[in-house]
Amino acid sequence: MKKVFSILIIAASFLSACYYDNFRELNPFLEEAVCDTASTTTISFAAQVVPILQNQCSTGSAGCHSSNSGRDLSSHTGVTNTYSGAKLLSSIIWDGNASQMPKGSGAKIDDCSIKTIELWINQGKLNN
Amino acid sequence: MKKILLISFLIISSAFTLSAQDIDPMALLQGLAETPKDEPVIATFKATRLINQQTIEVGGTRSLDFRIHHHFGPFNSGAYDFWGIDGGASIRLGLEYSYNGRLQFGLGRTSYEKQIDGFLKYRLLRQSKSGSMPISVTLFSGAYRNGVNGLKISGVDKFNYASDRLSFVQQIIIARKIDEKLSIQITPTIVHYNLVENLADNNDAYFLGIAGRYKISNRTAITYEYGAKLLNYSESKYYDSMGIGLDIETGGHVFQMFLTNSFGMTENQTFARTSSSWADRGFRLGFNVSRMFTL
Repeated sequence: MKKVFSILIIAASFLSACYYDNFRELNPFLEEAVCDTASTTTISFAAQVVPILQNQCSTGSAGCHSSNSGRDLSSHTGVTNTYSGAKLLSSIIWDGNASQMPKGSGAKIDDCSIKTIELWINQGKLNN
Repeated sequence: MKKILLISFLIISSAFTLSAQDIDPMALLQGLAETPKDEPVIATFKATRLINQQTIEVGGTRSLDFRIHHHFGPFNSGAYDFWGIDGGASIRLGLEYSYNGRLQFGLGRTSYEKQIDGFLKYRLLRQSKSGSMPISVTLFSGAYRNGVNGLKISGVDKFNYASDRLSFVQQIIIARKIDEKLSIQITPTIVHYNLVENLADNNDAYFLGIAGRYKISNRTAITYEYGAKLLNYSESKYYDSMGIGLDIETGGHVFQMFLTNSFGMTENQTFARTSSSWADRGFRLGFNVSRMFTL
């Protein structure tokens, strides 16, 4: 019985580091990501697409998609010259026609980001 | 309760007398013949994991279990990625030690979420051959640390506090070996994440693990497991984890091949954070290799 108790105590000690944090409650003034992708709005490359690429595609100096990686997603020329729109889209919607991105994440990027990039491609990949 | 304690005490003491007689094989045989009828049922499952879920088994006395878990990419990634074999794999390396064959502790590193995990597992009750104890019960407690740096949500660092990287799992694993071939197991599970993302998300999530194995020969068995979500816990889309597999036992190795829709492989990831579904053909090939060393 002593043994069992000692086990329970050890198991309970795991609980002492228990928090009930919620990201949205910790950051109450965070702007809610508004998914403004009605087909009439024009997507801005600088304001809407670049943040997605920076957050999701490792475009930093030594990242997978940096300017000298050969898979450049860090600038407008990089994005338009390296990949066709169809391939770019295939890689994030995981339809099987391109390697799934982000690599090794187990999950697609959020729907709003996918819609934004899809719309930007459909609008002719503007550099605005 | 008293009866149960008495029985488990008897089981322990009989196990000790057995191990003390292992010098002369004849003596061992006699010892086996003389042991009381109420000995524990052994080999309910072949290994300490079934597919992703823990089983009631813990390693034997002074055993060190070196485990390699590997999951490939999803089947629906298509011909370009050779249906998942090419890329986006995850792997867990683990070392798990038991001194007395009842208490086991383990450490592991998973590539998915750059996660370090530690766990304790304790065999509380063992099913007996006479039927006086119909089930085996094992307690499981695990802690996990997500090691990914630079995760951002809308430009804000996701992990502002070190504690936000942690998650915990508590399980009561209950199993019964019904006959030589069939074993079944149910596992009430609590998964606790210190940090969740959306306002309506719960930090605690409750699951019921259901698992079974059916031996098709002495060395092979078909395995199945399902992790049923009991309450909604997240606005994000997560699916129940399901796996079907084949156990192959060869000497000191147990080789497990399976299909599962979970990318992660530890309890917190499989039960609560499985983001691909069987319906979308999001299942993947995986294998576990276990090598037992006696120290």
